[in-house]
Formats: sequence, C-alpha cells, structure tokens
Amino acid sequence: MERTSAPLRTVPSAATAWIRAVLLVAAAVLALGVAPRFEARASAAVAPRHAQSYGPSTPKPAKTAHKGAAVARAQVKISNFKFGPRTLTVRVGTKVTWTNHDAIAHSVNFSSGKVNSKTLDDNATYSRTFTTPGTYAYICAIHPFMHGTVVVTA
Amino acid sequence: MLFGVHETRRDSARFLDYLAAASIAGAGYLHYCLYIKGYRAIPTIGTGFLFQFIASGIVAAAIIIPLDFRAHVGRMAVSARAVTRLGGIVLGLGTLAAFVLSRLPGGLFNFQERGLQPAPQSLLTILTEGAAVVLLVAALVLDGARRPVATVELPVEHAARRPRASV
Repeated sequence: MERTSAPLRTVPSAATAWIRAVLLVAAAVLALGVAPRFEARASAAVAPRHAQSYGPSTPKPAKTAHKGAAVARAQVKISNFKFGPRTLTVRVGTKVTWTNHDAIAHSVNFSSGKVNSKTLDDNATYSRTFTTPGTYAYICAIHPFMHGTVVVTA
Repeated sequence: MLFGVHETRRDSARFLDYLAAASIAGAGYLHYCLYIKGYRAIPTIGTGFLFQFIASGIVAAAIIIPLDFRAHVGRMAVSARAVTRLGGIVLGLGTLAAFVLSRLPGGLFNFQERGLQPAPQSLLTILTEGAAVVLLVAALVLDGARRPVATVELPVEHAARRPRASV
C-alpha cells in the first residue's frame, strides 16, 4: 500500500483566522471598557463630586464648623479614595461626621488608636465629637494611603 | 489503543482550557466591576484594572479558539495553543503578584490595601486566577505528554525503512 502524505495545513490562513478572531474580541472588549468612561464623564457634568481629581492634593482652605447651632456639626466626605476636606478645622464640642460615598469600604482610624470607626460600607456614616483641642490625624485602615486631619481649636 | 489514550488526553486538555478561560474571564469581570465601582479614580491602578479586564477577555477568547498551527522561531516550533496557555499563566501570576504587592508596606504605585478587601472580590479573584494558572499548567502537561509519541511525522524515506507491522 502506498503511503499517502497528510494534507498540508495552510498556516497563513489559520493564523489569519486566529488574528481576525482575536482582533474582533479585542474590539468588543474595548468598546465595553470605554463605554463606562463616557458614562462617567456625563455624570461628572451633573454631579460635581465625581469631577474631583485624585492624587496628592494641594492644601485646601480649612473648613470651619457652623457657629450658633446647639451642637456644631461638620462633614467629611469619603469619595474617590480620599477624605474631603483633607484638613478640617473645628471648635471644641463639634460633632464631625464622615460619610462614605465610595462603593468600596473604608474606615476612619485615628493615630491614637483609641477611637476608630468600624468598616464603613457604601453611604455608611461615622461620627465623633471632639471635646479636647488638638490635632487629630487619621487614616483609612483599609487604604492606608488615605490621610486626613481634624484640627480642634478652643 | 495508544491513539485513544492520546485523544482522551487532548480532550481533557481542551476541557481544562475551557475551565481556565472561564476563570480568566471571571477574574477580568471582577476587575471591571471594581473599576466601575471606584478604582478608576486611582491613577495607574485604575488603568491597570481596565487593562486587566481587556487582557482577560483577549486571553480567554484566544484560549477557547481552536488553534492548530505552529510558528517557527529559528529552529524552534512553538504551538499557538501553548503560547495562549502561557499567556493565561502569565496574566494570572501577574494579577496575583500585583495583589500581593498592594498588600506590602510599600504598596503598588502608592496604592495600598489591607487584607481581603474589597470583599468578596479579592477572595474571588485569588481563587479564579489561581485556578486558571493550575488548570493551564495541567493542560500544558497533558498536551506535552501526548506530543512526543503520536504527533511526530516521519519523512517518507524514513517511513519506507520502517518494518511493517504484520496484520
């Protein structure tokens, strides 16, 4: 019996088919990946808090708690992996509330280590009333690169 | 009989490929969800998450597409299937390495995270990427064990000298 050679595979055609398929998938994946960016830009126009940029923030003017209220209150937003304002100046007796606006969990942990929040999920809040003047530095224990400070004046 | 064993090994390797591709795609989807949830705000890390998602889609698709050709690099013949499997292994190990680095004191690109946060995405990513690496290594081993015996094509003059098996 004469041995018949196996049909030769056309390498270029197989390679081309593979490259085409990969390019097609890459295009689809890119389209999926880019779409949310446009959505984010659109929402940033409506909600300014999304327009905040991340990174080493320049010192912002200190925020002061409202005067005249029975219990002075101040707010700190946790958004886009940073505390805002990064430095908050309040008077003694002010109740400061941190609200997590990220969908990722954060926490508020003071360097003294005595008073810390539990893990704050989406829209969770944590409050602390400052009764002693001083500077209180804190971080997010889950993301230690997130820093904040509360300056309490007499 | 021998042919049957090799066919079974090849089928098993393909089955492992499908499982690995599903794991890689799952890990990519998890990265995409985290990117949307807020990681896009973090410089470099956010881009890395998006890149991981895109790369996962491409690698998972390349693994499940039936590739049956070899590229010749010098004197070496490299199977396209082996290349895609190696790509999946590199992607999985790279993702796991980035996860570990982000938990170390120095962090990764100034980004640091503690423990298995965000939960449950962190744990799921470790499991899916780890599974993908193991499955792809197993697929490579299965295919590697099959190839040297059954797929070597002898030139015609060598084949003519081979003693014919008695029927």
